[in-house]
Amino acid sequence: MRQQGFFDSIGYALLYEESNSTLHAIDPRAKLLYVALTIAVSMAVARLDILLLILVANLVLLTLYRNLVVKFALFLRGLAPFIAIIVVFNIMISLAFTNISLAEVAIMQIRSVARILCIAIPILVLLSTTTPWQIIQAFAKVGITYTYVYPFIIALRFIPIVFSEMKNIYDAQRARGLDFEKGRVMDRVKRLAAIVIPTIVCSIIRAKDLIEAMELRGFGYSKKRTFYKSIKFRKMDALFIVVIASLYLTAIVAALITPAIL
Amino acid sequence: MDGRAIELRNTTYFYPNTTAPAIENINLSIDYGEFVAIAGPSGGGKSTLARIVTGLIPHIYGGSLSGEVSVDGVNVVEEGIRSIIGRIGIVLQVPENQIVNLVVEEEIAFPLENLLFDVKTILSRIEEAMNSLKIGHLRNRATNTLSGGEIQKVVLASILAYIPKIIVLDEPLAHLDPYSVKELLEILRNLNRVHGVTIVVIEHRLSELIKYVSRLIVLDRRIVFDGRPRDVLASILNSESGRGIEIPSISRLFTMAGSSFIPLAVDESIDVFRGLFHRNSECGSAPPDRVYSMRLDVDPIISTRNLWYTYASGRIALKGIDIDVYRGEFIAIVGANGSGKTTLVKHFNGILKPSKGSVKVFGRDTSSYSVAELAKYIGVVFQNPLHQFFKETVLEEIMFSARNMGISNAEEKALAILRYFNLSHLADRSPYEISVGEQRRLAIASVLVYDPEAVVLDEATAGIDFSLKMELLKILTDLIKRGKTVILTTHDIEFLSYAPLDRIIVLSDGMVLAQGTPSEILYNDALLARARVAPPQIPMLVKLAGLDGCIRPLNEGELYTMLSGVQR
Repeated sequence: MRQQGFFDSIGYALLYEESNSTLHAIDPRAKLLYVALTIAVSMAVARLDILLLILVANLVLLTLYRNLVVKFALFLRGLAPFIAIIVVFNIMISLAFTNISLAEVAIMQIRSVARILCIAIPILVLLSTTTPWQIIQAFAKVGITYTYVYPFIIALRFIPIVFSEMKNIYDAQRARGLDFEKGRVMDRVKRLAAIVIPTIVCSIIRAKDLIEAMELRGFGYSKKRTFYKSIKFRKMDALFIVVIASLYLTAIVAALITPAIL
Repeated sequence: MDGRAIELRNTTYFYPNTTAPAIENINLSIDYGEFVAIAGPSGGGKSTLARIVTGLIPHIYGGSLSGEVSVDGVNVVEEGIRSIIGRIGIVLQVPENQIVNLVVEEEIAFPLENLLFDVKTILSRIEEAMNSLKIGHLRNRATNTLSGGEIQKVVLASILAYIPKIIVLDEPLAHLDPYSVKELLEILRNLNRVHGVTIVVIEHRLSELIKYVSRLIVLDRRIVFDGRPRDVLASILNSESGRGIEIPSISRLFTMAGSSFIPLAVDESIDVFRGLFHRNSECGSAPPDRVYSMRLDVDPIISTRNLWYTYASGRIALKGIDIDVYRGEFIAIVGANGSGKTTLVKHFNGILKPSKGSVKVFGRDTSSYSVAELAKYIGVVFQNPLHQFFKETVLEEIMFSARNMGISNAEEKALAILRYFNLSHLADRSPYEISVGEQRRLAIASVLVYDPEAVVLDEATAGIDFSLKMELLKILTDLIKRGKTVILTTHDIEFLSYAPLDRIIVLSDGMVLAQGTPSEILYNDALLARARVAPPQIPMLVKLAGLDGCIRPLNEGELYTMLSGVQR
């Protein structure tokens, strides 16, 4: 049941959805910049209280597209067991091999979780509200040839598909009596081969089909390409970036001049 | 060589590292404006031919190709794939694999953008392509939310946008339900007649397709037959070479009756049919027929009560399903794509747990048992065998299931089942190296090895040729004879007409529309239409002839016996 939830939740969370929301309307360049800024500031800021503030700000942003709140919740549900395992593992290792106190270790772990969440939100926003085609055009505008960008974008586009395929594979193996929930940890890890190998094989077949179809539809015919609709950087996009940037700037300044609360 | 859409001369091809040719000494020319079907058994080189005319062989696949290949007047072997871009398009067997973009409109624009068309042209071409396929409403949809039939149309639109002269479709009907099959074929006919596009359909399901094509070619490494559909059908029926091809049951019936006229469709056969069997139009009172009745004497082995299921995305797939399955029954669950068939059978071994309601399997509530425990009783075989293979050899693959189920003499059992399935000679081969039909059998064998009480097959006939289907049917019938329970989901109605089913359950939009004996269901046109399923040809013919009041045969064999019995 739990793993079923994992594939379902993550697969759905990362999926692009069509909608007329504000976040969909924002220029892909603005969104890419938003991702970059958030990653930079989350890595730069070490203080937990400030990180939590950044997290809250990002959560507020999510409400611009209501489905994103649901998606974020599903994403968390899917990742929760892994985060929990890593946190517990880190705490145990730190306590066993270092002299750091339990409280400090706990705060360190909360900080890294907060960081992961801060970074996860903009990526979720980008993937759920932007199509690969828009991202490719964004790169093309700054002179990067589309043939270099497409492979990465296709990889992104295939994440949800691979997840849903993994779920089918997982189901097919369980139907043959493979129990992923029982036994020692090492045995369970070994059993993962039953999912990983078919996933790789199916992905290779898919990749081959895709290459054939792209080739026949003129992919790479020329270094240049046209775009049937032009993305436009409007006032709203500028405003979006200004708001984000000033927020993060405030956070950094606050981190430097105010005393730590946590 | 010009003046022909496709021309192959003495073409022979070997895939890399193989010693047997995939196709041998092919001489074939297809004119502009033709609508051609290429049929043949699995492994007969149909897909290879498609790859050759699109330049993928040898330019992507390598291997050794001899002979000449010309497409739209271009020597594609010498001049490369680029030389034919824009002239020919291909729809692959699994069309969702060839979608690059996330939005329908972007996908249609994709080839035009690559080929540097200007914005104005692209926009008008998108419009034209969507109009000719009537998919304007899909324009802004995300491509991963489309149904199988819709995906095919989007792929077609993306090809049509660059106005190719030739379109090749590789087994386009395999995964479509009967209504979608008709829809697609109508579209192709329109493209062919109105827009003059040369259409080549590679397919072994001929029942519907044959009404549309102007020429039928049978390929089994070499070209076995080539000509007008009716003539080729006659040749197939009179020879042993039709291996693997699904011949319309109506054509088989007329051959059985010794008719020289071979009909391709039910409506053109009715007059000859009446003459052939000299039937009086009057017939007895009620049909000599079983009517399905619920069994109350024994407990069901599977029973669902008010079963609802909602996916994470919020889509409600099942809406209050109530069904009981009894020991020894042979049941088919039919319905259009997306009607909830797969979701339902995933509840039978606990892969999915009800969102509301309950499912009991051998008296056990599935929500409190693991899949591994329930799988001991109910073996489920899924559609794609590649989703389960991961061992190095065929034998290990089977032993793996046996060991999971705690079978003590796993190797002995595995060897026995391999013999039963005629796979013994492949025991040491990799499951990835064997043919599609063999993979399908292996997947079933790996469930049967631990001898579950009931076997469930999800879309078991999708994408396999007719002789494999009949082989599968024999395996299932044997299981029934041994007292096992068999449930299969399918939209392959012609296949069902050959199966000795006890019951058909019709699903539509997540609900049970009806259940009954095959003759109750397959003779109920209104019901089937509501479920977007077309009736098989023989029931259609019997109804058209007004005989359904006295006889209700399901396939040509039954009809022939019934009528020739009456005549004598």
